[in-house]
Parts: sequence; C-alpha cells; structure tokens
Amino acid sequence: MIENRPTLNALTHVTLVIGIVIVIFPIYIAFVASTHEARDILMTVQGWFGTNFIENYSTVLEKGKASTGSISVALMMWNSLVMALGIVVGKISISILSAYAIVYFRFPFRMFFFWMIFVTLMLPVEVRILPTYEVVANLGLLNTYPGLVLPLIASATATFLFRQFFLTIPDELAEAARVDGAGPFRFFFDILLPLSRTNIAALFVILFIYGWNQYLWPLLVTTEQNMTTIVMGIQAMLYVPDDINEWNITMATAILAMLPPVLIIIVMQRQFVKGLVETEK
Amino acid sequence: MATVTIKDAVKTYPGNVQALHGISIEIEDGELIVMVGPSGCGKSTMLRMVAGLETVTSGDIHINGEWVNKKEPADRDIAMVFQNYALYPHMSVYQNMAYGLKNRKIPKDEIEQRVQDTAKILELEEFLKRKPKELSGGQRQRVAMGRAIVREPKVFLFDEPLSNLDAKLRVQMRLEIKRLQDRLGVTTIYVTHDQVEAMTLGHRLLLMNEGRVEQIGTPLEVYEKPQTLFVAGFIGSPSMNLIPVRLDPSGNQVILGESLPLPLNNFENIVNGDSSVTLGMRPEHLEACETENALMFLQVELLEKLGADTVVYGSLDQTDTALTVRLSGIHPVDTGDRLPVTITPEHLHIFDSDTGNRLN
Ligand SMILES: Nc1ncnc2c1ncn2[C@@H]1O[C@H](COP(=O)(O)OP(=O)(O)O)[C@@H](O)[C@H]1O
Ligand SMILES: [Mg+2]
Repeated sequence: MIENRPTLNALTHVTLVIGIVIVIFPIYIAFVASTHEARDILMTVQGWFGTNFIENYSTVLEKGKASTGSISVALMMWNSLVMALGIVVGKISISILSAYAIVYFRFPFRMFFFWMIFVTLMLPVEVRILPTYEVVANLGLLNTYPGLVLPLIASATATFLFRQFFLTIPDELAEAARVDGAGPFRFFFDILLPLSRTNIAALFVILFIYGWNQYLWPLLVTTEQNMTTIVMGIQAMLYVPDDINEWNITMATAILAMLPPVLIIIVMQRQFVKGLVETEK
Repeated sequence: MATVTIKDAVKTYPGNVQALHGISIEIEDGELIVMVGPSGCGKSTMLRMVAGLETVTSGDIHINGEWVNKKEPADRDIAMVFQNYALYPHMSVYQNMAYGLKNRKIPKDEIEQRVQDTAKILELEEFLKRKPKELSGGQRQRVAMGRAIVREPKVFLFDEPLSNLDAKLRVQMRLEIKRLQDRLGVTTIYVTHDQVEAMTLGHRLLLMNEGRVEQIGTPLEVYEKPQTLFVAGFIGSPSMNLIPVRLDPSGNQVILGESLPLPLNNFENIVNGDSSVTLGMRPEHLEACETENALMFLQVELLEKLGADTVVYGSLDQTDTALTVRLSGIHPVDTGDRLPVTITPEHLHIFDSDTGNRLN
C-alpha cells in the first residue's frame, strides 16, 4: 500500500494482533501447563507459569510418561527426526530426478510416465495404505526406519513443482552447457541443482513438517515401543484409563514436538519465502 | 582456424515442417559469413545444425574437412553466442567464462590465464566477480562473447547477438565484433535479420528466404547486383522501388502501366517471353534534374528531411505507382511539387516478374 492512512494502518495492526493472539493463546496455555505440577492443572487452567519447568522437561526427555511405557521423549524425537529427514531427502531427490528426466530427456512414453506420476497426486497415502502395508511387511521392514520412510517418499507434487520450475529455465541454458561440454550429470549438478536451491529450500520446509506430522503410517508399521514417533507418543499420552492424567507431562511433550518444525522454519525462512515467491533466473 | 562446408542441408521438424530446403555454402578459413533474412526463414535452424544442437535431416556439414553431422556440440570445437546470452545465472562472470574450459580438463592456472586475457580484451576485468544479473545488457553481451572467445574454438556462431541491445550500443558492439573477428581471425557464422548489421559485418552474405538460399555474395555484390527480387527488396534502406513494367519489343523503352513509356535503354539483350518484367531502381540512385532531362516526374506526397538526406515519397506522374527517391543533402522540394527525376542506366535492375530472377 503506497498511501499512508493512519486509520487503515491501525486497523491492519489490530487485525494482525488479533490473529497472533488467536494462534499464540493455545500454545501459551500448553507451555504454562507444562511448568506446573500435575495436580495443579488437573481441573483448572493455569494463567501463569509454575515452578516445575526443569523438573517436568527433564522427566519428559529422560523417562517419558509412565502410563505409556516410559519411553523417553528424546528417543521419540529422534525417531521422528530420522523419519522426517528421510522423507524430505528421499522425496526431494526422487522428485528432482524424475522431473529432470521428464523435462530434459526424450524417451519413449515420456508423457505417459509424466501422467502416471501426475495421476498419483489423487491418491493420498491413506488410500493405498493396506497394499503398502502388505508390501512393507513382506519385505521385512516393519519396525525399521526404511519401513517408516520408503513408502512415503514418492511425491507427485514435488515432481510436478520441479517440472514446472525446469520448464521456466530457458532452453538456451541447457544448450550453452552442451556447447560448453557439460554432459547430463554435469548439467544437473553444476547448473540445475544450484538454480533449484530456493525451490529445494521451500520444499524442504514443507516436506519436513509433512514428515514430522505423519501419524497413521508410523502407527501401522511400528509395534515396538522404541520405534514410537513423537506424534504417536502424544496421542498415546492422551489416553489414560484409570489414573490421574499428568497433563504437565503431555503438554511438555507437545511443546517439544513443536520445536523442530519451528526451528526449521526460522532457520530456512529467508530461502523458504524466496522459493515461494521468486524464481531466480 | 577452420573451414566450414555445408552441403544440401535440409531440416524437417517433427510434424513435417520443412524449415530448410537444401542450403549449401563453403566458408573459408577466417571468413565472417552473415546469414541474413526475415524472421522465420530458418537462419537459427541452420546455425544450430552447424552447432550440433539440431539434428541434420539430410545433407552434410564439414568443419575443417571433418564430417560432423553426428558429433556432439562439445566435440565440434565451436562456440556459440545466444540471442539472450544464456549466461549461467548463479555463476560469476569468471565462472561463466571458465566453465567450458573446466569441463575440458584444462589446468587451473591456464584457465586463470586465459580468462584474464579474454577479460582484458573485452574490458571485463572489473566485473569478473559479479553475477550476470548485476551487469547491464551490454556487459552481459560481452560476457557471452568472452565465454566464446576464451575457448579459442575453430568456429564462432552468433545468433542475433545484438538484438537485445539499444540502438547506440548495437552500433558500438557491431564495430567491436568486427574488430575482434579481424584480430582473432576465427571463422565466424553470424545470424541476423538486420540488413545493416549484415552489410557492415560480413565478408560475404548468405541471404535466405523461406529456407532457401537467395544469393551468396559480398555486401557490394549483393547491393549492386541483387540476383532475385527478394534480395533486391531486402537489401537497402529505404528499399528498392520495384515497379511492374512491360518491355517494348524495340528494346529501348519500357512501358509502365497502360501506356506510360520510360525511354530507358541498355536492355537490348534481355529476352523474356511475355515481356512482363519488374524494374528495380534504388531510391538513392534516382536524382533530381532539370525538367528537359527528366525521365519521369514524381508527384511529391511526403517528405522526410533527415539532414544528410531528403527522402521523397510520391507517385509517378499520371499513375498511382509509388516511388521513393533519396536526395542527398537538404533539397528545396515541397509536398505537391512535381519533381523531375532521372537515373543512369547502369543503376537499373530488371527482374523476371514470375520467377523473380535477375535478367540484366
Ligand atoms: N522446434 C521446432 N519445431 C517445429 N518447427 C520449428 C522449430 N524451430 C523452428 N521451427 C520452424 O522453422 C522455421 C525457421 O525457424 P528459425 O530457424 O528459428 O527462423 P529464424 O531464426 O530465421 O527466425 C520457422 O518456420 C519455425 O516455425
Ligand atoms: Mg532466429
């Protein structure tokens, strides 16, 4: 907005502040709850911080919650991290390579393969979950990291995004590289990959959050407790049959679960925004 | 240093689009050939076939005697400058120039030396660390040329390298390319649609139209003896007056329109069946003269006073045949005047109206 109208300015700010409060409030309540003793928050919602911050968080990280088998949340976070990073790296490498093949190489049934990939956009994980489970089980990958990651790394969306980006790169660039003696590998690593940097960053953030938040698939393929991911962990903590629910522990776990995605966004924010709004050419 | 021989080059694109119908030319070592013609006539296609970026449907291309039809661009020892420069956006100027050398496994210190030398020739030294987007259009153009020069190839290929520059810079870079080519003596094929560029740069021109060669010759040959109607109309600015006339059987006059005779001679040995021909006269060859010496009269309709020249547009007396005359200097003539003009016979061009071929 070029005009400088004070009332409008005030209005925008008020709107933004309201938005932020709405988003922050539940997080604040969760964080406050995670600093109290269990019985202080059993029936009420606390408005201000308690004194058990260090105690609660070290319990969570080291021992987890007794009612869910005392698996340490640190281990859960590690599992989630491995799974999320595996999904991110796998999805990005596979999709950038398939997009490269589809855009830059002439081979029989090229468009057929493209449409096959495109059609799978319409099939989310949940639709094909039973056959996928069967395959993973037969391969003996239950309760392993590859079992968690592999079925999730094919990505039509990312392939499509990379394809669209590659199509915007002028043909002359590829031709100049050919004249300069760069073969397909050189062209990919020296030119295409550096040019895709911001797109990769944006996808990294989006896919990391996608991977971190996976719930249904890890629930199916892991039965051993030390393979629990943090999202499964939180879900399990909510269900306490006949005991006092230690909400402080659950809340601390939730806060911890939020940290890595937030960190990733903060670290990659600049590149992320660039990747979404501009294509550097 | 190399010769380039193109023989009967034909290109058919998928979908049966025939872009080239058999182009042949022998380019000598160190020669600068300009391929010129209107947009879409197949210039780029021909150049890209020499570069190896486009397959050859039929015909042969030899570089320095070696048959290269099936060779990869990198193995042909050519360097190409693209219209949009095609610089690698994420690499510095230095890296852009060094990339081709690096891929050829040339030692690092030699690369350094060659890039520095080339940068000096092109006055790019202070920009070596910059990215392409931090350069002006003219500087990017230089980098694109630097990337070609640094490779020390057998052949330079330019595809309309100046068309993204403003008019002033274009003239400047044109001179610079000419000077560089003279100095380096590398065989060069230069593609453009701009006839001024073609005339000023080329040792020889290859005029193309609709995928065919119209004429090959030095700029002056092409100007003085255009072999076809197309060349006659394409080369020269303002373009040649082309007027349909009939040859009088006596051979000492042509008849314009129904019955306006122009007493022109010099056509004794022209034989043309139905005697309907096209007469070509360059605007700059028509001169104003005294009334009694006039060959024809021009009804002046529009004037462009350019200082160095005065361009007069009008129609021939008593006809609606348009005629353009370029008089040198500032001329006291006004719209509505009846301007007596003449032309010396050696400046007349006669073409067969049907085939377009030159007759005299
Ligand atoms: N990849 C292509 N597929 C089909 N037709 C093409 C292709 N490239 C060029 N053409 C056609 O070939 C003709 C010559 O094109 P081009 O060589 O680019 O002309 P110029 O460079 O002289 O303007 C044009 O009619 C164009 O439409
Ligand atoms: Mg072209």
